[in-house]
Amino acid sequence: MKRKPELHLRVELEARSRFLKLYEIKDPYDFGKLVQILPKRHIHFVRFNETRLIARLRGMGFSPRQVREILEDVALLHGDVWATLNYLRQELAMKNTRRLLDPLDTNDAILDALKKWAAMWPAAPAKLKRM
Amino acid sequence: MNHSAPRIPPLQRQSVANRAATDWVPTPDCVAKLDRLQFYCDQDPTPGLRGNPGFKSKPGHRIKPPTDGRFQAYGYVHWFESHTSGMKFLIESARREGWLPPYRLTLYADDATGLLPHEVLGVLELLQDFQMTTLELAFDFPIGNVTRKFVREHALFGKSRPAPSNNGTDYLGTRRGSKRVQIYEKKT
Repeated sequence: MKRKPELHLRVELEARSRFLKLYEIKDPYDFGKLVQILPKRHIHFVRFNETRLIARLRGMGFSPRQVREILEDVALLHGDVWATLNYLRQELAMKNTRRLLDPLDTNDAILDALKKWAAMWPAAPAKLKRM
Repeated sequence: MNHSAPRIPPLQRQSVANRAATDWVPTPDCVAKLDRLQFYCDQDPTPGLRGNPGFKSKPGHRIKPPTDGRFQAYGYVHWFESHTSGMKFLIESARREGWLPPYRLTLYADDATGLLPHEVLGVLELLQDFQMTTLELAFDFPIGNVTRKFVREHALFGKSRPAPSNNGTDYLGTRRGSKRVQIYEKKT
Protein backbone atom coordinates (compact mmCIF):
# COMPACT_ATOMS: atom_id res chain seq x y z
CA MET A 1 0.00 0.00 0.00
CA LYS A 2 1.28 3.43 -0.92
CA ARG A 3 1.97 5.74 2.00
CA LYS A 4 0.00 9.00 2.06
CA PRO A 5 2.39 11.95 1.84
CA GLU A 6 2.59 14.03 5.01
CA LEU A 7 3.12 17.76 5.18
CA HIS A 8 6.30 18.80 6.99
CA LEU A 9 8.07 22.03 7.66
CA ARG A 10 11.51 21.76 6.16
CA VAL A 11 14.46 23.81 7.35
CA GLU A 12 17.14 23.32 4.76
CA LEU A 13 20.69 24.33 5.53
CA GLU A 14 22.97 24.59 2.51
CA ALA A 15 26.65 24.54 3.46
CA ARG A 16 28.82 25.78 0.64
CA SER A 17 32.46 25.44 -0.30
CA ARG A 18 33.80 28.05 2.14
CA PHE A 19 31.87 26.52 5.03
CA LEU A 20 33.08 23.00 4.19
CA LYS A 21 36.70 24.17 3.88
CA LEU A 22 36.54 26.08 7.18
CA TYR A 23 35.32 23.02 9.09
CA GLU A 24 37.42 20.54 7.06
CA ILE A 25 34.52 18.49 5.77
CA LYS A 26 36.04 16.81 2.75
CA ASP A 27 33.98 13.66 2.29
CA PRO A 28 31.14 11.67 3.92
CA TYR A 29 33.55 10.32 6.54
CA ASP A 30 33.61 13.83 8.04
CA PHE A 31 29.83 14.15 8.42
CA GLY A 32 30.10 13.21 12.10
CA LYS A 33 31.79 16.58 12.71
CA LEU A 34 28.51 18.34 11.94
CA VAL A 35 27.06 17.19 15.27
CA GLN A 36 29.57 19.45 17.01
CA ILE A 37 29.51 22.23 14.42
CA LEU A 38 25.85 22.95 13.63
CA PRO A 39 23.91 23.10 16.91
CA LYS A 40 24.07 26.46 18.67
CA ARG A 41 26.54 28.01 16.22
CA HIS A 42 24.58 27.56 12.98
CA ILE A 43 21.10 26.53 14.05
CA HIS A 44 19.75 27.69 17.37
CA PHE A 45 16.17 28.13 18.59
CA VAL A 46 15.85 30.77 21.29
CA ARG A 47 13.48 33.09 23.07
CA PHE A 48 14.30 36.66 23.99
CA ASN A 49 14.45 37.24 27.75
CA GLU A 50 13.18 40.73 28.60
CA THR A 51 14.13 40.45 32.27
CA ARG A 52 17.77 40.07 31.30
CA LEU A 53 17.45 43.02 28.93
CA ILE A 54 16.11 45.24 31.70
CA ALA A 55 18.96 44.22 34.01
CA ARG A 56 21.49 44.89 31.23
CA LEU A 57 19.99 48.29 30.40
CA ARG A 58 20.07 49.28 34.06
CA GLY A 59 23.68 48.17 34.22
CA MET A 60 24.46 50.30 31.19
CA GLY A 61 23.16 53.37 33.06
CA PHE A 62 19.86 53.96 31.24
CA SER A 63 17.19 55.82 33.23
CA PRO A 64 13.87 54.04 33.99
CA ARG A 65 12.16 56.21 31.36
CA GLN A 66 14.72 55.28 28.70
CA VAL A 67 14.41 51.61 29.66
CA ARG A 68 10.64 51.84 29.20
CA GLU A 69 11.05 53.46 25.76
CA ILE A 70 13.49 50.76 24.67
CA LEU A 71 11.11 48.03 25.87
CA GLU A 72 8.32 49.65 23.86
CA ASP A 73 10.55 49.58 20.76
CA VAL A 74 11.43 45.93 21.42
CA ALA A 75 7.72 45.08 21.82
CA LEU A 76 7.08 46.46 18.32
CA LEU A 77 9.31 43.73 16.89
CA HIS A 78 6.73 41.11 17.93
CA GLY A 79 9.12 38.59 19.45
CA ASP A 80 11.27 38.33 16.33
CA VAL A 81 14.59 37.38 17.90
CA TRP A 82 16.84 38.28 14.96
CA ALA A 83 15.22 41.70 14.54
CA THR A 84 15.38 42.39 18.28
CA LEU A 85 19.08 41.54 18.53
CA ASN A 86 19.79 43.59 15.42
CA TYR A 87 17.97 46.56 16.94
CA LEU A 88 19.94 46.29 20.19
CA ARG A 89 23.25 46.00 18.36
CA GLN A 90 22.62 48.79 15.85
CA GLU A 91 20.67 51.32 17.92
CA LEU A 92 22.12 50.80 21.40
CA ALA A 93 25.59 49.51 20.38
CA MET A 94 24.98 46.60 22.75
CA LYS A 95 27.52 43.78 22.71
CA ASN A 96 27.12 40.09 23.56
CA THR A 97 23.40 40.27 22.87
CA ARG A 98 23.19 36.48 22.73
CA ARG A 99 23.43 36.49 26.52
CA LEU A 100 19.88 37.87 26.52
CA LEU A 101 18.51 34.68 24.98
CA ASP A 102 17.06 31.51 26.48
CA PRO A 103 17.47 28.29 24.46
CA LEU A 104 14.32 26.34 23.55
CA ASP A 105 13.69 22.60 23.74
CA THR A 106 13.59 22.48 19.92
CA ASN A 107 17.40 22.51 20.05
CA ASP A 108 17.39 19.12 21.79
CA ALA A 109 15.15 17.70 19.05
CA ILE A 110 17.57 18.99 16.41
CA LEU A 111 20.60 17.62 18.23
CA ASP A 112 18.95 14.20 18.59
CA ALA A 113 18.02 14.15 14.90
CA LEU A 114 21.51 15.20 13.90
CA LYS A 115 23.10 12.53 16.11
CA LYS A 116 20.85 9.85 14.62
CA TRP A 117 21.68 11.00 11.11
CA ALA A 118 25.42 11.22 11.74
CA ALA A 119 25.45 7.74 13.30
CA MET A 120 24.42 6.28 9.92
CA TRP A 121 27.62 7.48 8.27
CA PRO A 122 30.92 5.64 8.68
CA ALA A 123 33.75 7.60 10.27
CA ALA A 124 36.47 5.87 8.21
CA PRO A 125 36.66 3.70 5.09
CA ALA A 126 35.91 0.05 5.87
CA LYS A 127 38.96 -2.22 5.92
CA LEU A 128 39.07 -5.15 3.53
CA LYS A 129 38.53 -8.44 5.33
CA ARG A 130 41.11 -11.26 5.14
CA MET A 131 39.89 -14.27 3.18
CA MET B 1 -1.15 4.92 50.55
CA ASN B 2 -2.37 8.35 49.53
CA HIS B 3 -2.85 8.67 45.74
CA SER B 4 -4.12 12.26 45.73
CA ALA B 5 -2.13 14.96 43.87
CA PRO B 6 0.65 16.58 45.89
CA ARG B 7 -0.33 19.85 47.46
CA ILE B 8 1.26 22.86 45.81
CA PRO B 9 1.34 26.13 47.73
CA PRO B 10 -0.83 28.81 46.01
CA LEU B 11 2.12 30.98 44.92
CA GLN B 12 4.00 28.08 43.37
CA ARG B 13 0.82 26.82 41.68
CA GLN B 14 0.31 30.23 40.09
CA SER B 15 3.87 30.36 38.79
CA VAL B 16 3.54 26.89 37.25
CA ALA B 17 0.29 27.95 35.54
CA ASN B 18 1.89 31.13 34.19
CA ARG B 19 4.87 29.21 32.88
CA ALA B 20 2.57 26.79 31.10
CA ALA B 21 0.74 29.66 29.42
CA THR B 22 3.69 31.80 28.35
CA ASP B 23 6.72 29.53 28.07
CA TRP B 24 5.14 26.72 26.07
CA VAL B 25 7.24 25.79 23.08
CA PRO B 26 6.84 22.87 20.71
CA THR B 27 9.13 19.91 21.29
CA PRO B 28 8.75 18.21 17.95
CA ASP B 29 10.06 15.02 16.49
CA CYS B 30 12.65 16.27 14.09
CA VAL B 31 14.26 14.18 11.34
CA ALA B 32 17.55 15.13 9.71
CA LYS B 33 18.13 14.12 6.09
CA LEU B 34 20.91 14.72 3.63
CA ASP B 35 19.14 16.37 0.72
CA ARG B 36 21.79 17.23 -1.82
CA LEU B 37 25.52 16.84 -2.33
CA GLN B 38 27.67 18.44 -4.99
CA PHE B 39 31.22 17.64 -6.05
CA TYR B 40 33.69 18.89 -8.62
CA CYS B 41 36.05 16.50 -10.33
CA ASP B 42 38.85 16.78 -12.88
CA GLN B 43 38.40 13.42 -14.59
CA ASP B 44 35.30 12.27 -16.42
CA PRO B 45 33.32 10.03 -14.00
CA THR B 46 30.75 8.97 -16.63
CA PRO B 47 32.36 5.70 -17.86
CA GLY B 48 32.84 4.41 -14.30
CA LEU B 49 29.34 5.32 -13.21
CA ARG B 50 27.73 3.83 -16.33
CA GLY B 51 28.92 0.44 -15.11
CA ASN B 52 27.26 0.82 -11.70
CA PRO B 53 24.44 -1.77 -11.58
CA GLY B 54 22.44 0.21 -9.01
CA PHE B 55 21.74 3.07 -11.41
CA LYS B 56 20.04 3.48 -14.75
CA SER B 57 21.84 5.78 -17.19
CA LYS B 58 19.59 8.23 -19.06
CA PRO B 59 20.68 9.70 -22.40
CA GLY B 60 22.84 12.81 -22.01
CA HIS B 61 21.81 16.08 -23.62
CA ARG B 62 22.99 19.63 -24.22
CA ILE B 63 21.62 22.48 -22.09
CA LYS B 64 20.53 25.64 -23.84
CA PRO B 65 21.87 28.82 -22.20
CA PRO B 66 19.05 30.60 -20.32
CA THR B 67 17.36 33.34 -22.34
CA ASP B 68 17.11 35.69 -19.32
CA GLY B 69 20.90 36.12 -19.22
CA ARG B 70 21.52 33.97 -16.13
CA PHE B 71 24.86 32.22 -15.97
CA GLN B 72 24.79 28.57 -16.99
CA ALA B 73 28.02 26.95 -15.81
CA TYR B 74 27.94 23.77 -17.89
CA GLY B 75 26.62 22.91 -21.34
CA TYR B 76 26.07 19.15 -21.18
CA VAL B 77 24.21 17.01 -18.64
CA HIS B 78 23.92 13.28 -18.07
CA TRP B 79 21.33 11.91 -15.60
CA PHE B 80 21.42 8.65 -13.66
CA GLU B 81 18.49 7.26 -11.64
CA SER B 82 18.53 4.71 -8.86
CA HIS B 83 16.72 1.41 -9.52
CA THR B 84 15.55 1.09 -5.92
CA SER B 85 14.61 4.62 -4.79
CA GLY B 86 13.86 8.13 -6.01
CA MET B 87 17.53 9.09 -5.63
CA LYS B 88 19.18 10.45 -8.78
CA PHE B 89 22.34 12.25 -9.77
CA LEU B 90 23.69 14.15 -12.71
CA ILE B 91 27.07 14.80 -14.24
CA GLU B 92 27.58 18.17 -15.87
CA SER B 93 30.35 18.73 -18.38
CA ALA B 94 31.32 21.10 -21.25
CA ARG B 95 32.13 24.00 -18.92
CA ARG B 96 31.37 27.44 -20.28
CA GLU B 97 34.24 29.21 -18.46
CA GLY B 98 37.88 28.15 -18.08
CA TRP B 99 37.97 28.73 -14.31
CA LEU B 100 35.34 26.08 -13.69
CA PRO B 101 36.42 22.50 -12.92
CA PRO B 102 35.80 20.19 -15.90
CA TYR B 103 33.04 18.09 -14.30
CA ARG B 104 30.35 18.68 -11.69
CA LEU B 105 28.46 15.88 -10.00
CA THR B 106 25.22 16.55 -8.06
CA LEU B 107 23.37 13.93 -6.01
CA TYR B 108 19.66 14.48 -5.22
CA ALA B 109 17.90 12.56 -2.47
CA ASP B 110 14.68 10.62 -2.45
CA ASP B 111 12.42 12.96 -0.44
CA ALA B 112 11.27 10.20 1.91
CA THR B 113 14.69 8.94 3.00
CA GLY B 114 17.31 11.55 2.13
CA LEU B 115 20.64 10.48 0.68
CA LEU B 116 21.72 7.24 2.29
CA PRO B 117 25.32 6.18 2.95
CA HIS B 118 25.29 3.24 0.52
CA GLU B 119 23.98 5.51 -2.27
CA VAL B 120 26.57 8.23 -1.73
CA LEU B 121 29.52 5.94 -1.10
CA GLY B 122 28.44 3.74 -4.04
CA VAL B 123 28.91 6.72 -6.32
CA LEU B 124 31.99 8.22 -4.69
CA GLU B 125 33.98 4.97 -4.68
CA LEU B 126 33.91 5.09 -8.49
CA LEU B 127 35.41 8.59 -8.66
CA GLN B 128 39.17 8.97 -8.90
CA ASP B 129 39.22 12.47 -7.45
CA PHE B 130 36.57 14.80 -6.10
CA GLN B 131 36.11 17.94 -4.11
CA MET B 132 32.91 18.39 -2.12
CA THR B 133 31.45 21.86 -2.71
CA THR B 134 27.88 21.79 -1.41
CA LEU B 135 26.13 19.88 1.33
CA GLU B 136 22.42 20.40 1.91
CA LEU B 137 21.01 19.11 5.16
CA ALA B 138 17.25 19.17 5.79
CA PHE B 139 15.48 19.14 9.15
CA ASP B 140 11.85 18.00 8.82
CA PHE B 141 9.35 18.95 11.55
CA PRO B 142 5.72 17.78 11.74
CA ILE B 143 3.72 20.76 10.50
CA GLY B 144 1.45 21.18 13.53
CA ASN B 145 4.25 21.81 15.99
CA VAL B 146 6.70 24.04 14.21
CA THR B 147 5.50 26.62 11.72
CA ARG B 148 7.27 29.06 9.41
CA LYS B 149 6.28 31.88 11.77
CA PHE B 150 7.81 30.05 14.73
CA VAL B 151 11.09 29.49 12.87
CA ARG B 152 11.16 33.08 11.60
CA GLU B 153 10.70 34.41 15.12
CA HIS B 154 12.82 32.00 17.17
CA ALA B 155 15.58 30.57 15.00
CA LEU B 156 19.06 32.00 14.59
CA PHE B 157 21.33 30.61 11.88
CA GLY B 158 24.72 32.01 12.83
CA LYS B 159 25.29 35.36 11.17
CA SER B 160 22.91 34.66 8.27
CA ARG B 161 20.47 37.52 7.75
CA PRO B 162 16.86 37.12 6.67
CA ALA B 163 16.35 37.69 2.95
CA PRO B 164 13.05 38.47 1.17
CA SER B 165 10.60 35.54 1.13
CA ASN B 166 9.42 34.16 -2.18
CA ASN B 167 6.65 31.71 -3.14
CA GLY B 168 6.01 30.49 0.40
CA THR B 169 9.70 30.04 1.18
CA ASP B 170 11.69 32.03 3.72
CA TYR B 171 15.39 32.56 3.02
CA LEU B 172 18.32 33.46 5.22
CA GLY B 173 21.82 34.22 3.96
CA THR B 174 23.04 35.57 0.66
CA ARG B 175 23.43 33.93 -2.73
CA ARG B 176 27.22 34.00 -2.46
CA GLY B 177 27.64 33.39 1.26
CA SER B 178 29.12 30.31 2.88
CA LYS B 179 25.69 29.16 4.07
CA ARG B 180 22.07 29.64 3.00
CA VAL B 181 18.91 28.54 4.76
CA GLN B 182 15.49 27.88 3.26
CA ILE B 183 12.32 27.30 5.26
CA TYR B 184 9.24 25.91 3.49
CA GLU B 185 6.44 23.37 3.74
CA LYS B 186 7.03 20.10 1.94
CA LYS B 187 5.10 16.89 1.36
CA THR B 188 7.26 13.84 2.06
